[in-house]
Amino acid sequence: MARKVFNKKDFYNLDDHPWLGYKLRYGSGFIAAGRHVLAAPSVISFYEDRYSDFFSFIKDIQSAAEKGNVLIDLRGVIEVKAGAMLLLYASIQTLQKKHGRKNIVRFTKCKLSIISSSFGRLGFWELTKQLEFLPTAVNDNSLEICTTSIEDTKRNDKAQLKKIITYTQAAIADAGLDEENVLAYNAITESVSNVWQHAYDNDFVADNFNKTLANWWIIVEKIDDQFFIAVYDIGVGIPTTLERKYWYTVYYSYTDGKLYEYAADAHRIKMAVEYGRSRFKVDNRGKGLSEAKDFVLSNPEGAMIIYSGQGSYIFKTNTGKEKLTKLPSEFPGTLIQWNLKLESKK
Amino acid sequence: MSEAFRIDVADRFSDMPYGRDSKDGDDNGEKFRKEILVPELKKHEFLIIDFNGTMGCGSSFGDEAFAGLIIYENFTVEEVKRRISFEYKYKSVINNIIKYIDEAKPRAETN
Repeated sequence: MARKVFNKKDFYNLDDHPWLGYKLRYGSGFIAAGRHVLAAPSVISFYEDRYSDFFSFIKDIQSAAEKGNVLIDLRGVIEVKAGAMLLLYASIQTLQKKHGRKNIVRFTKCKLSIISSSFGRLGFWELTKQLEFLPTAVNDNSLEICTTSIEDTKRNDKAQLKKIITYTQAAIADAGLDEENVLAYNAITESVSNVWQHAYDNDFVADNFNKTLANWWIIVEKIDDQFFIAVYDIGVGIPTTLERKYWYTVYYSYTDGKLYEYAADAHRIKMAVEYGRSRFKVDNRGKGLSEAKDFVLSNPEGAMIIYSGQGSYIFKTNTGKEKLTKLPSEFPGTLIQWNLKLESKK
Repeated sequence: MSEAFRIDVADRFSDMPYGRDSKDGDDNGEKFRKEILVPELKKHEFLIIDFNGTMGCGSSFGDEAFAGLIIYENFTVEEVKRRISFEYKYKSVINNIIKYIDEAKPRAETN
């Protein structure tokens, strides 16, 4: 019997073609099917002590993409976190735009179906043009990662933003809530507005920043009675924009102190969150983050998580405490994540 | 007293009003203020701003459009509140806009 001819489709379906397994060793740093192979971390997350590992992985992808196409081995992945998935998606899409190749990054099949479902549901297989090879469980109760570029915004293309808001408002209405609909609209549009107003502002971005890469990315996810929203951009971080505000020194002199010197950027994020409510406020801007925090405060299980610059700011309603942390390395852009409660009032 | 002129925001401007200025796209508060609000205030003594057909109203939009009348267009807080009223099924949006108007100060005082 003639042996089946190997083709590229088979390469991503190792379970269907076990004889191919030996062709793809576990690990990183070798080339298979003309691609630089990189093994993804077993837990795709940057929280706590996973921060350095995750960003080493992202940097490895970026370095490998400079040399050629990349294959990310997902067979060892056992857990994923939404924030890190958002960053991974954004990193791949940015590489696609930068290098002008949709196929610059591809994935292997996952070992665990739950992981495969997560990647498929969030739109990774579509992003890398692997829908044909990698299965995606259909789930009407979820939404893929949405993104819009600065060019789309200039063309007033609001399709992606409208999709997120419609999905979010439907989830809220389904829980029997009403007024929360506009609060969610506000929280989402303000987050997006913050991106264009600050992250990619000409006054702040470096002269060599390629504006065609400027996007926002949003992930929304409903888990039980909690609705999670995360917004990410690769622009100038909050600490940098804050320092260049004309009111910055005024505010700084009232709030800064030696107590916070260990986590200066995290403290700057805290200041940005509080500015909208500050009695020292000297202009009509900066309401977005403080209003998002109000949203979190009304949720007993609420959390507000912001990563930007060299700092992270985490506030949890159940403890009422803020955690300010200095990160091991610069966070590439800004991630703002919060959650609202969908307790049914029906 | 003259009858109030109704502006249906969704019909006349956008069903997704959000953002402060043109950086945020076309449906921003500055554009609404300059192209609709100020011209209509010149023609009519009273306006009703009807948000009922919209998906929401972002706070930057509300601030830039309505507080912006005081900050940039030489209206007083009292005048804006006397001449403009709002209709929306979501009361929190109206309350927020009124709060922004109350907090607004002419530009010369803010710098």
